[in-house]
Amino acid sequence: MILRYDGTFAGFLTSVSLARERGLEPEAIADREPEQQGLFAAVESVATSRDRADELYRLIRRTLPPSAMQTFRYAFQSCEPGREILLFRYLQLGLATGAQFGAMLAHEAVIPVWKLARAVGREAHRYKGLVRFRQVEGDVWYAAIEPDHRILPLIAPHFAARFADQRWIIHDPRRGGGGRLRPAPPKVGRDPPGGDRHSPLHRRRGILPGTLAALLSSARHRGTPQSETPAAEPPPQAPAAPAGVRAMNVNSLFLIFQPILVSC
Amino acid sequence: MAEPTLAEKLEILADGAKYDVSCASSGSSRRNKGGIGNGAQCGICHSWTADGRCVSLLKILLTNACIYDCAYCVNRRSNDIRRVILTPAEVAELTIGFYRRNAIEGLFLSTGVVKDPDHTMELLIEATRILREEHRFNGYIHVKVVPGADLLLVERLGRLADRVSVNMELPSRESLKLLAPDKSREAIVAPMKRVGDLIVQTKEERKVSRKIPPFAPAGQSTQLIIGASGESDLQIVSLAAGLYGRLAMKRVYYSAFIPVNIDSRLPSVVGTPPLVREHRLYQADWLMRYYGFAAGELLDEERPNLDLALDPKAGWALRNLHFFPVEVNRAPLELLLRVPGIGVRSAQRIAGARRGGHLSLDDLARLGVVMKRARYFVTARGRFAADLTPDAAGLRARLTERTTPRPRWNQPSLFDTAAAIDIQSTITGEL
Repeated sequence: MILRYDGTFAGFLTSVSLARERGLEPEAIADREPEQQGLFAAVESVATSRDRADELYRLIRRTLPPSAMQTFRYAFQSCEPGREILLFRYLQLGLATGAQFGAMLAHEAVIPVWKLARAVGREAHRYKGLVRFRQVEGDVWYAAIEPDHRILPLIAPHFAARFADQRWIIHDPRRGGGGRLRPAPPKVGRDPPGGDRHSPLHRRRGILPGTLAALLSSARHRGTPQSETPAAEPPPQAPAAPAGVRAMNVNSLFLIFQPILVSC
Repeated sequence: MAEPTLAEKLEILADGAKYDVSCASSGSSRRNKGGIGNGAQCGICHSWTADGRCVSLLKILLTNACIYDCAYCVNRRSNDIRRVILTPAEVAELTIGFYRRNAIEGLFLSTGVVKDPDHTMELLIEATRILREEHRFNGYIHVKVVPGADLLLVERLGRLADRVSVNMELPSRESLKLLAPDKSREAIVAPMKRVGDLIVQTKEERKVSRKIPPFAPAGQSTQLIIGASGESDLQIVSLAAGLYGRLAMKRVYYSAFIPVNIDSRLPSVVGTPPLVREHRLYQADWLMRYYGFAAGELLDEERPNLDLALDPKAGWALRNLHFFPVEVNRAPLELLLRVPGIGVRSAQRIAGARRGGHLSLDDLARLGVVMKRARYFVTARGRFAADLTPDAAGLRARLTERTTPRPRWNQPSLFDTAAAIDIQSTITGEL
């Protein structure tokens, strides 16, 4: 059994839930067509089910110790090929062992996931220092980054707190797709979110056309009238739509734009 | 000569500040209260020097003009160099400019002494005040205290900054008198003491009421120049231990002496600055602050200097073989911390993981222990991994095999917009 899901956290949880129901470990869980197919493994497309995902998410939150929960969440943001099956084994062990799971740091199912989480955490921390904004039209500060992993949701709260009086956009042009806008308060939520809202940053949703120009004008219109300081550098070329993953803030409310398919 | 532009001033004054090695931005978690900026408790690096040192702060002098004539200093009165001065408002403006681009974590402000210490301190305070009050900047600020300034000014500065520091410069009174005749030991120690007292006192008061403004929440630090005078490592390490203990010091920085002046009072340095010695002193410093070592365990009268070929932790282990090998499944955390190859994090991970089951030698490697070093000093489930026991004669040679010379000191550029990403993987040991 090879499960193919849509790349979202909810889709992944749905896949895990299906596999658990059948009592089988899948050969693979992936968000794209496998390059080499096994002889007998059939690829099965998983339709993301918010109810299934929610149910499993609540079970995980109840069972895993907080540190393991964080490891799991960070590791999912990784773009390492084959991460899903490692996460599946991690969850299976965690759900089977419960409170003891926190001490199983040397277990063969734990170490690789811990390493994924560590790589993601390190990259997220590094990018807090490496993001460089430049001032573009409309007094908006723009930064493009190309991280290895999907770290944007992990670093956005940092910038939201730090540059609360500054309108900024962090843009990940490499991860393409259609744009979706999700305003969120700059707090990490604790509730079990459902579906696409599984990222702790996402609470409400709206839809915005995907080009950077549209983003800029949207940011401009929400703010106060700007001083006429011309930008020191020329504004960046607006990438052709559909644009990539972005985070931005509008008057201390920050938004995360993610394509519907958050693939790596 | 024409009036220098802001860019020219920045170039001169950023270059002049590079002899202060402190660049930490950790230890403050100041919140952003409706303005710009906040403190990140763990510190954040924004770029790296060619030799892998982290650059976190805009490090700059308010002015390179100075009434003093310290032998080791590039900005001493008797040097014929171009002198420039920034206004406090310019300092604030530069800081905000870099900060908004996320190029820095905050400001490190030092200065030469103009007119007199009090006047100079007032300029520093004004720059900090403009940042905090007019720009509503809540990011990290580290400011130097001018030795000899009024203690009330020191207090005002500490209420605005995250960290303040008075440089000790030379480890002994005699060296100070010889090389920095205008500075007295008393003028250096008095503000240090005052800062230490206020830090302790404010912490207590803030336990009662959070409304009391913090005083230097990231603590105070100081800097010692290594190799410009004749003190032994034992003297330096003991001095540092005293500072940590008595003056609520957060960090002592060691700066390998780089000759910038020709002066008969200074040692004539042949070749590179004593960077390895500096490195060993930092290692000893870390062992004291995070690993539970006392100064007397690392050095004594018979061996007053650190071994340049071997790190001080391995050196201690080789002198104290009766502790080893350590059984990782049973040893207390304090002893795990003393094993070469086991750092603070791996010690904690071992302590956590062994609650879940007996650890094997393979598990240790997976947990992040540097088995290349640790294997001579540990057993797991009674098994020993190395071909040499700790008491073997060849072990010292084995542990000193790898000696990489460290590259020369280098001041990073703050003006690169593209951050260097490729060198990170080798240098970010910390999360």
